[in-house]
Amino acid sequence: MDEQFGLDAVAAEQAVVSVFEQIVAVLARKADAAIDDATLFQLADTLFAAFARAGEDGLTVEQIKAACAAFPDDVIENRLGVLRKLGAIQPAFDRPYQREYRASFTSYVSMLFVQRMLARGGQSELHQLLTMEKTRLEGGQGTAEEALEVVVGVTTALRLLVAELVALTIGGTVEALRERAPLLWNAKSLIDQASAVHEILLKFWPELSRLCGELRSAIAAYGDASTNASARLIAAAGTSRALNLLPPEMWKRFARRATVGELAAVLADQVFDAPSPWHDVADLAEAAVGRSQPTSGRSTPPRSRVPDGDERPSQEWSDAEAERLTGIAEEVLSGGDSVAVEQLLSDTDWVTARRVLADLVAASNNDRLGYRLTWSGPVQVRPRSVPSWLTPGVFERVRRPA
Amino acid sequence: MSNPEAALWWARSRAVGPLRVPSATRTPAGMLRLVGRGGEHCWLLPRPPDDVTPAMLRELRMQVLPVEFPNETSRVLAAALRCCWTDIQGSPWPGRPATMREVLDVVDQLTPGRGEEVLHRFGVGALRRLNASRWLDIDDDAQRVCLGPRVATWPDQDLPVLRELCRELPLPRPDREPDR
Repeated sequence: MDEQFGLDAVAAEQAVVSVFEQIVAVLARKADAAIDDATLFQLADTLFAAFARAGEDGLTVEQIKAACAAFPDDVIENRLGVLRKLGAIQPAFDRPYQREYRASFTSYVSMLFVQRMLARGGQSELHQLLTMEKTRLEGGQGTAEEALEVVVGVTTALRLLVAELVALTIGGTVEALRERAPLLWNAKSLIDQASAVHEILLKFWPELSRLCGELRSAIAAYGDASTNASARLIAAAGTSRALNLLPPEMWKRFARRATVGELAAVLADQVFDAPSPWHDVADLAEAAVGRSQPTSGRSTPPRSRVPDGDERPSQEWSDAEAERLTGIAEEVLSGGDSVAVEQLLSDTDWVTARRVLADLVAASNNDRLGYRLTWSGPVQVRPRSVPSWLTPGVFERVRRPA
Repeated sequence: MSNPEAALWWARSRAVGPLRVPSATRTPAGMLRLVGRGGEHCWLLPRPPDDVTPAMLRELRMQVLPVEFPNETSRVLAAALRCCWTDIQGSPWPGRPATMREVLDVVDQLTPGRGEEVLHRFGVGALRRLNASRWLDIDDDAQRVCLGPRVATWPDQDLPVLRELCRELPLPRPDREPDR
């Protein structure tokens, strides 16, 4: 165990083991029969990988021990005993003094299954189950016994899911609810799939209508439970914070463990600017001595205080503005389709040039006008000419698709 | 920009605002260098071409970064300018240090009739904001107010208006008790 093996790791391992225990609980004979250490699971993983490499010859006990050299001897011994007894590894051939063993395919697949359950909490298994049943039952194939099995199985699974969600929503802490939030993910599609299965069942096996009624109510109950649970999570998240279902520890852990690249990716499309407001001299004078300065910006004409039915004046004004901009734009383009900004701004003083630029930007920003300013790099620095810094740009007509 | 070093300096100042660097640092292209009072450090600020200021954004009808409590903040900045900008024929930077009491006293004369506590609360809030955006440089312990590097970014053509403003503003009243 290295230095990093802290509280987080212990908690994570505890969670892993608790899922194992839930999964094997159905098959376990004694409460302490399941493994209580995630290392043992890794050992099984290593073991099966070694068997896969070995191929049809299988492995002897010595080879197994060599393959699992990373684990202590007595642990391997103990595991081998259990796996052999339960048939996860079996003698390669049924004859006395057989030294080679082969691994059971079923055991490994169940392990993959367990790993998936670990990651998704079993909800996606329910999804797949529903999809499979739907495919199987579609078109009335399958026997009445199979249909009965499906309706009872799905109803029970949904009811258990509802019971867990309701208990968490009503009695559990928000943290516990958040941890089990994967149960809520894709609730809508789960409901849709279950309803589809329900419809098929009802259509082809009308005799199951009573059980189908129970399935219907289980689906509805799941819908309600997931809505209530989400509502509680949203309420706990508050209005000011973004709605995230991840506990703060998870964010912290990400920040600690992420690589530089991962952290930087968050910022890849952000532009930062020092948030420092500008104090215009005119504003300063106005605030300090109440003197109003003529500002360079244009302002809208005063509106009549009498309300006049519709929004005509602002419309008229912006139309007038649009007309003015169109006039300028057409004059600038002088019949062509595009013109280089550099050409327009040269040979004038900056005061004129920037007025032209402001009009071009306004025309480009006006959605109702079909003009566009396109800039490209790099910046040219041209001391003692106007403008002294110039980015090549083109003012052009936008061809509207007819 | 061709020079990557200068581009980095521009990016830095874009991210954190005016940069306070040791005086030995070379001035990157296109940046304004302001030597501080001590002479050990200097400020680097981007100098946009042709005396363009962020006020230009209004002309282009783009969003400008809003000032919190704009009137109060502007008044306090004007008052600080009145106290610190002594050589009114020259440029405001660097000016001479003033005390917080002096600045708040000018604000008090601009907006008479406000209670001591209100004046202090609003005034100190505005001073903090101006300090954060580097318009002023405030030493809380010494209760000292200096002009910040950004006052040097006012273009020359604005200075007559500022001079006029400073002439109109009252001076701090010297007969006041330092702590009423």
